[in-house]
Amino acid sequence: MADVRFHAIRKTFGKVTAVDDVDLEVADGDFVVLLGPSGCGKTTLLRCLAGLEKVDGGRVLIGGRDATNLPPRRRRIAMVFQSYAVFPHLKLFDNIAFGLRMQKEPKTVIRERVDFAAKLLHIEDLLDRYPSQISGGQRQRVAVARAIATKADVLLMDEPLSNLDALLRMEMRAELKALLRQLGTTTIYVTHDQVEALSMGDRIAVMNAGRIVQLDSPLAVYDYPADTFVGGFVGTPPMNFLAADISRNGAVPLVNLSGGSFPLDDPEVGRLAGRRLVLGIRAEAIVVEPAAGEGLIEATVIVVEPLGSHNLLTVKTGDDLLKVSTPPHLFPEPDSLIWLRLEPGRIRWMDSESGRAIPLADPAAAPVPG
Amino acid sequence: MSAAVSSPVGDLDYRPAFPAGYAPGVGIVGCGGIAKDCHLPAYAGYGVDVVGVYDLLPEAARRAKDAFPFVRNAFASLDELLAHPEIDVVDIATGPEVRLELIARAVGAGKNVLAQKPLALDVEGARKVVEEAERCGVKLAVNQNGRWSPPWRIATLLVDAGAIGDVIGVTHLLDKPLPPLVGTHFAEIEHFTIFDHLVHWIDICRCWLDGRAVAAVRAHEYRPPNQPADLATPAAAWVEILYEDGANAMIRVTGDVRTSRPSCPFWIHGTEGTIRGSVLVGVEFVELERDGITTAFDPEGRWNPDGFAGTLAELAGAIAEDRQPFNSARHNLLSLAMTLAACRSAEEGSRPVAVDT
Repeated sequence: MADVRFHAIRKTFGKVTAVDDVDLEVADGDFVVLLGPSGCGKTTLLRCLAGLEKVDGGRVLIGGRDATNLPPRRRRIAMVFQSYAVFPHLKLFDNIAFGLRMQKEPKTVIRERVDFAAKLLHIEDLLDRYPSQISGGQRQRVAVARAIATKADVLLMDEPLSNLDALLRMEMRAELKALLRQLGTTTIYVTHDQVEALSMGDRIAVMNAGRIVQLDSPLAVYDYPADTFVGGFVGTPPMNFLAADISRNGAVPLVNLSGGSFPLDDPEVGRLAGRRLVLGIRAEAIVVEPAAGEGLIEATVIVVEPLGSHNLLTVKTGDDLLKVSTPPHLFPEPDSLIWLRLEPGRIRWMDSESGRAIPLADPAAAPVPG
Repeated sequence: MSAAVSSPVGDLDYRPAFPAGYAPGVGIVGCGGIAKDCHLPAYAGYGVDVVGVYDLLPEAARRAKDAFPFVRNAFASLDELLAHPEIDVVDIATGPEVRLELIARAVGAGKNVLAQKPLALDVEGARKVVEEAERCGVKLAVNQNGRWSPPWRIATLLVDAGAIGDVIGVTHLLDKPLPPLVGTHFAEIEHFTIFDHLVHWIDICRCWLDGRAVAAVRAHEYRPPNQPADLATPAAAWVEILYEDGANAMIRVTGDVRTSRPSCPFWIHGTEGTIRGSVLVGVEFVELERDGITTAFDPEGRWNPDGFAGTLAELAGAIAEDRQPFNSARHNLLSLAMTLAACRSAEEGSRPVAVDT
């Protein structure tokens, strides 16, 4: 196993900069997820690490060794792709053994490694079958088993679950997480699925336009987005963003939104008075009250989406549309009036021009920009 | 232990690989465009020891050495290059008209040879130098660099592994603009499109249908309506290779096409499945389909430079292991014979022409 370091990695395709001066350190045994929308550079960054793309600038270190110019097969990495990437003409055993045979491992070692990996992936009874005789989920298990069998220093996974149906994806997500924890192999995992990223990684590197915009724990990425892009990309529904400013109402700062004002007894917030701000808040951090009251914002219900475990409301307050999560029993009628309480501790502040988060009181809780 | 990238494409040994513990000294004969645009950049990228270069025009050799500082010498004569003790491989990058003579001299000097394609202007002459190289105990290989174009190399390995069963047919289409030919020496080559260009495609068909008896070759070359009037050699052609067991290969180049999505797609159909892919123009991929499963390969590398490193690496491996290289001139004789048969068919109204074996 090994740590991985990207130093000022840059990769362009013609006039398009796919990876723009990226620094990233992944500790030995760490599980880092590269998360971002299509075209953000996450797969390109992974391919630079694999040696499948030649970098235009910067260095890649694997286990302290400069691997920037090493061919893929000398980097001691294994890779699992979205496409199952199995050989259809080979039985499962031979698929898993293929890389080991190419490495000219002795037969006994090959048998031992294939059996080990097959058992971990629960496909030990299928080794005599061809890929066409097993399901898509089992084929992906073969691809993972093949990667594990090589005992590589670093596992690279590029959207490995994307071809699976929703239920299977959820099952494999948990299983893969447990498996990788058991193996302790340094893993870099690319996905555009933020649920997958939040649920699996030790850390998430959120990418946008070729750069890492936030590198943090899943909870910190969710609760303390580095900017409006991260808040809008991570989470279902995305974080709500409202234009806001702060004024003084005696000793207590007053938060002014297009749909009303409410006091927020936090001196740190008071220091933001006079700035044009964006208030960010998650749907589940908004409490619906049945009647008007102190510190509440009036809103009109537009749509109610019952989702079983909770309802998702789309409400309008002033000029802003908000998503609000409510318990399943709370089922307001469309067009009815409700009143919203924004949980003070869950409110995030962003600069309205840059979109960057403004860290307040608790610096330890603030995100560390990647 | 070194772990490969553990996808099928990573596991397949398709990349040029020089043997461990043996780095041949190379002397290049001919410092024209192919040497400067392809051989030398590839050798620079793969760390090949180029002991020196030679050209009939001393200035051309000096310019090549200046442009590629890793080249150690610009030799004043061929004899000087052939006498250099550190040169194991003479890389002949000249036109075909002088190739056999140069090969014979290099072989006579006890050197292994990597000769540009097409190997010769006639099969008989080529066969003689093959036999002479074998008699002298040196390796003679042909620079059929397309064989190490990553998609074609992967396809070859899959075919050899029986991934699609027995090959029943091969289809190639060259769907791309042509480089400007007017005023270049290419325009002076008789049957340029077939003899100098499609020889790669003919050769790879020969590899994928290895061991099958060729019944005949048919070809047609023609001037499409948009061909420049001052380009004498026909810019479009098709070649069909007919095998005795009914297998068939078809290659079609449509001339200078206008397309925003150029590619050179190919299909290899087998009794058990299909391989499809594309080479050149930045569209390089391979897919293997069998039993309802499609496995996509996203190969690393490009025809140029990797194909040019591949031919030399294979020859170096053969020297180190004292075996015949996959791109041996003997293996390539059939490709040459098929190419020449195609040229003759094109001259004779596209009639089927038997291959001179």
